[in-house]
Amino acid sequence: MKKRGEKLLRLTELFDVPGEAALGVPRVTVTGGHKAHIENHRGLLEYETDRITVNAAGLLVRVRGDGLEISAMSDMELVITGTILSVELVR
Amino acid sequence: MEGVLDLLRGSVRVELDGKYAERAVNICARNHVDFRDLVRAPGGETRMTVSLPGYIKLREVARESGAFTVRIVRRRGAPFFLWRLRRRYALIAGLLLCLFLVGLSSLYVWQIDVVGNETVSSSRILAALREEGVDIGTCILDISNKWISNSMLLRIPELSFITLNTHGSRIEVVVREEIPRPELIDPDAAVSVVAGKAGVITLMEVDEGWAVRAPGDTVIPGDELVSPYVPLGTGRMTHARARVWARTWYELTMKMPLETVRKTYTGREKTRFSVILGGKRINFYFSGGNPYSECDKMTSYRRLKLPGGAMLPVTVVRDRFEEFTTRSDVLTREAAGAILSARLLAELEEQIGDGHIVYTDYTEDLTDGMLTVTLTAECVEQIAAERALTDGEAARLRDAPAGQP
Repeated sequence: MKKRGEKLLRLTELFDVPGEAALGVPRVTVTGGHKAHIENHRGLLEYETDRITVNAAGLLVRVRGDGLEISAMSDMELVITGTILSVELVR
Repeated sequence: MEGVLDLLRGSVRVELDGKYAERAVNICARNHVDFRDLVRAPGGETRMTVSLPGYIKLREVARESGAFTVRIVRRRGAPFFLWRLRRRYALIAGLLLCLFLVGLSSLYVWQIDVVGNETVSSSRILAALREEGVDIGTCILDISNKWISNSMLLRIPELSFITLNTHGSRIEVVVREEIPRPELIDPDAAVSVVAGKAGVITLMEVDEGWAVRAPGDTVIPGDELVSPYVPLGTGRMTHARARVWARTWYELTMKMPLETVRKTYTGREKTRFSVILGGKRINFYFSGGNPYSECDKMTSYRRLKLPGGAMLPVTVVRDRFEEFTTRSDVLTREAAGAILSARLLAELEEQIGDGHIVYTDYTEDLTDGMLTVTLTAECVEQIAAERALTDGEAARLRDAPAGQP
């Protein structure tokens, strides 16, 4: 299954198709250290004011910072605001 | 923008109470309950903001899942504000009355715009519409476009098309003007050129026809100058056309008393206001009539409009009265003579039309305080005028021996 996913990912890269649209792989956009936009998430795993962990299809996105808030959330995307110190991708 | 929308549609700040806040948040996201400003309070509670429809959905989700409970922290927006006012019956009645009046006013004409007219003035079209019963304050339901359009075309023959488009309380009158037909000259019609005024011919320019007069001839009005019958070959009838210049003489007289009445304003003035609301005038004063025995009255109308330019059916009328007294004044003979001379010259220029003045002479006579000025003038002007021949006259011309029209 994992191999199939990797093959599809390579295929999308070959044809220059954005992976987040074709395969639903997560996309994380950090703006200026105060805002992180995560698309294609699968749910919130952990929520504290200094740490937010998001399940994102095959990996975890962990945002560390200070005074973190989820300023908007829907079933597909969420926006984290606050002082962002680091964004980790955990496999 | 989000704040404005929140105020309009209403938003609720809620606190989620459950063991696992993350689970509650994920349930909300999965069930399409969009929320924002999610914070973890120091006590461990989770707070978020949802719209009013979102809150209704959130309660359902909480009940069905049983994973968390919802407690309202704060309500904001118009729906909650209006809900608080539900027992203020006078306010609700006022609101309903206001809505009723706005709805009622939309049934009446507030503004009339005329478009498409070039030579026919808008005021003439509006005056004709007023006679047809369409004016500011007329009920829109009483306006029959077809009937009024037909009547308007009969009232103003220069119009070839008219229609009334209703845009809410505004009526747009779209008109198209008739294109004037060019004057057609029938080359076979028997038309002669005659003298329009008495004079001595100085120059004849004949385009068509047979000249029966020559420069130096004296003519009186009605004398034939160019005949339509051309006696060449077997002879033919034509439409005579010519320009004929002649010396003409005028004697014009005007009178004027030297003693005149002159106005002197006293400086006292009074202003009155009234309002025309939908065709009905409401005066803001009690006594009608002029406030002074001798006064000038100046009335100005100002139509009120909204900042965007939309006209309101309210016109403020301002009547200003300025008092004056009259006293006799005697003009000098020279001043009165100059006034009358200028008027006589203007009158003469109007009468001669296509021509010019060669010589003028003024004589004055003062009798019993009345100055009489007489203008004697010599001019050179175009005197040709066309006259259609009757069938009998044309037949006689045709039957006349060649060379004797």
